[in-house]
Amino acid sequence: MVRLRGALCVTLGLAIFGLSGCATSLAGLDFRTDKRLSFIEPHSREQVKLPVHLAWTMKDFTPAAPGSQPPTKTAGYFAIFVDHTAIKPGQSMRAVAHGDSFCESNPKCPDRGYLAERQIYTTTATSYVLHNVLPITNNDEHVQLHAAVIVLMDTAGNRIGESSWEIDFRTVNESDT
Amino acid sequence: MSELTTDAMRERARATLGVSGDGHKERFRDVVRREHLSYYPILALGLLSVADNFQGYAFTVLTPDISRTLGLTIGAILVGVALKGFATAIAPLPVAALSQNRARRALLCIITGLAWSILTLTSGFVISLAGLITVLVLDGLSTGSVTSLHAPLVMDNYPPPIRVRAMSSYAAFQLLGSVASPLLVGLLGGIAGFTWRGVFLILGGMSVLMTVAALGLRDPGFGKWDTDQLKASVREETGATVPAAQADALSAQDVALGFWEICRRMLLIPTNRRLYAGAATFGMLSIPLTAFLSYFLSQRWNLGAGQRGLFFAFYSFTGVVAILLYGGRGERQYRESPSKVLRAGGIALAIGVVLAAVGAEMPVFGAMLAMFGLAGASIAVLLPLLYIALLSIVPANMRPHAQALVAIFVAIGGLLGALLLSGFQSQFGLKGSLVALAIPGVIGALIVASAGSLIEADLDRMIDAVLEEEEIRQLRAAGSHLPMLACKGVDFSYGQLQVLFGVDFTIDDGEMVALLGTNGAGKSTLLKVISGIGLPSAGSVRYRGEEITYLDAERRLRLGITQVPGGHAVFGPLTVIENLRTYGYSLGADRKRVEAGIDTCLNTFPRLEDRRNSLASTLSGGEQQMLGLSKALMIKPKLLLIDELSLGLAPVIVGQLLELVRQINAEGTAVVLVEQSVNIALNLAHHAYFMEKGEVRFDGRSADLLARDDLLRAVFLQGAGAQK
Repeated sequence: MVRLRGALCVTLGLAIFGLSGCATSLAGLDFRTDKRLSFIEPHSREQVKLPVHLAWTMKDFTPAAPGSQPPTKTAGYFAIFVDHTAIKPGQSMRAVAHGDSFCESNPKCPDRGYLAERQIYTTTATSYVLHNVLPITNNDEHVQLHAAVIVLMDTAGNRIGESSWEIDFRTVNESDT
Repeated sequence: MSELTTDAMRERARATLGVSGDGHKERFRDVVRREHLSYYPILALGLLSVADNFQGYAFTVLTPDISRTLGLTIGAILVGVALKGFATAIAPLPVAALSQNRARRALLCIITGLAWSILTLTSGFVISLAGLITVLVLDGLSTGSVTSLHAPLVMDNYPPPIRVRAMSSYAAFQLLGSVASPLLVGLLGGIAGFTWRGVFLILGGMSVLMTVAALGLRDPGFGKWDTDQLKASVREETGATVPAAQADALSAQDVALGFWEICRRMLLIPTNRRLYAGAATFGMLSIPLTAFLSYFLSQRWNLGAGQRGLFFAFYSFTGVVAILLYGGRGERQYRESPSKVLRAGGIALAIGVVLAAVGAEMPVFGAMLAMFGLAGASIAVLLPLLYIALLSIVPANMRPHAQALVAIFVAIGGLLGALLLSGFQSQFGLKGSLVALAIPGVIGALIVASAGSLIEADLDRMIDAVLEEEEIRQLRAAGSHLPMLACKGVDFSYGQLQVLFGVDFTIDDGEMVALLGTNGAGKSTLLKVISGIGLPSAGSVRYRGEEITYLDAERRLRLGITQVPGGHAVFGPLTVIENLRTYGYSLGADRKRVEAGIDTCLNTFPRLEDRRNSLASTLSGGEQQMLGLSKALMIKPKLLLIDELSLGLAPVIVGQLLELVRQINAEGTAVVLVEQSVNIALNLAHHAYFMEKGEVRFDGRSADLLARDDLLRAVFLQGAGAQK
């Protein structure tokens, strides 16, 4: 019983430590789905051929290039992550290069080419053409399911809020044929 | 009590436990009214189990959303999910430990219910991986009560005539959680437009409300409708009343089994062992099935998360319907014979897995859906049948442990299944993996069905134990004399080799008993069973009227039972003094007593004083036996078990040792002396047992044994009688 109590105390301690990883205020947390963005194409889980055309509509958000105006939550550009984890809210694309000492030491990195290698793209338009979609690592299925996630970036290059939108599409794994 | 009466009592006890043999069942509602019961316990436990389902399912479905929002990789989140799985598997064990001595299961259910409700709410506020993993692990830990306590509470809330249906209703409720969760998550996340945070918040709120609705749940106490009823029937039979506690009796705490002792006891029950093996193979099937099926639906049928949720809701719903429909039939089967319940469960599982395998090959969506629907119905039927079978043969306060062990075995099986099926997938593809799931499924079904051949005997053993307990209490209340130690119907096996067969053995306070027999007769094994080094597969060992059959050896030592093993009673690599100190550790931390005990030993055996710093392995055979016997001088036991004291020793040494044994006995210690030499044994003891091939062939006065040439001829000293 003493050991059990000890285990309970340890659990409680860990709980207090771990729960510090939870928000203490509601600010910045989204509880309702952000419906400002709607995908036009492709349709969800549609099987498509290369190049893949992504298109969407956007409400209440003004397209603006990086550095073109002071950062606000309602203006900026889109970042598209294909089969890649999106950056955290408030982070910039520098987070993508985290752990890459070569890139981290270069102030101009990550640039478009670096990001494109990782299937990350940015645009102020409401469409984007993916000329290439890499096969998913460790997946030998003939038809592969890909996910494109769009998040909003402000003009200072930081992710705005928690809003994100995902569209899944399928492609034939050419390397498999 | 005569043999006939015992059989009659057992038959009556089986009927009391709902095994009437006739297959007749009363209407559920009639029994509820007659016994002034309520539907509330099923409702409350059902609501808690539904709420328990929320967090787990929501996490499964919303993982991609959480990943996008927090910028966490799916792999990192899956680490958390795996840790949660581990926590979920082990959590039932501490919960069982918390409930084993006091009937506070309802309280634990409510507290853990509140805990996971708050954790579900908290999930909506997670902003980092550490927070996520903590919430997941704590949620896994808090859900242990569902596995270990819910089914035992259902058992104790409803009487045997309606238990299968009560358990089926609870199981259906439990499965309803798997129907409600995907629908709710789909509704909240899709139509109502909530993010994953909003979904967790609302599910957490609902979970809190459900737990509040369960606040009226009360623990009816252990075995209200079974063991208590059996004890009452013994009292009715003997016309006695509830006996008062006896002044000379051991305290309940002295003989109450600890957590691991209970777990070990659960593993000694043959039906349980078979069911745990079945649970492990079932785990190989069931745990990977959900993940592989989800992947299969996505890849083969291009179903999105919402559609897959609907599929699983349908799959579970057919299970709910099947359980409710099968409840009455299951009740009849149980009343006829519990073995029928297990066979039916095995058949249902086999049919289910075959249907699932066929479903994976179906070229048309509707046909695939129908096959999996039927499979879900078939597999679900197994759940309440397994609960009933497992919990019927286990004492009420140990049921949470029995359930917790099921969870452990299912988790082990699940882990093995996941590894195995990953291999199958790379070899035979996704459909091949799903078809391959049928293999462990069918094996599991066969194992479960085969437990049917064991359950009747285990049920009788449980009944016998309860009846014996009550009989002993009645005898004690009536002032009857109880032996210091009594073994009854002891069976013992080394693996598959049974060496003791229904052995009865008793010894009184201060008595010296000789235990004789041929080589391999089971004498030493019987001593092991008495001292706790070996645990019997059947029968009981009682010390001062209290059952100690499954008590650890060191706890028996504290009760006053100690053994001097034959020929190797010392620790060879330790010196004489160190050996004596190790015996002293049993006395506790009292250094003075230990030192005094050592002095007594060295005074009694001056040869040991001469060799006090020599390694025990360098002592002669006689000196080693002296050292071994010193244990008795140090500990001053109430019952001393001596195995082969004289083996290979010179007569002079044997004489010295025997004189000491006489002294120890004269000071009040009861002694069981196992001896090859009939001469020695019968000269010392007035009461003798003779064993052959694991059975007691003689139990009586030593003088009478000397007259039994038929027994002694087979052994050694035909002329022993003449010498005496």
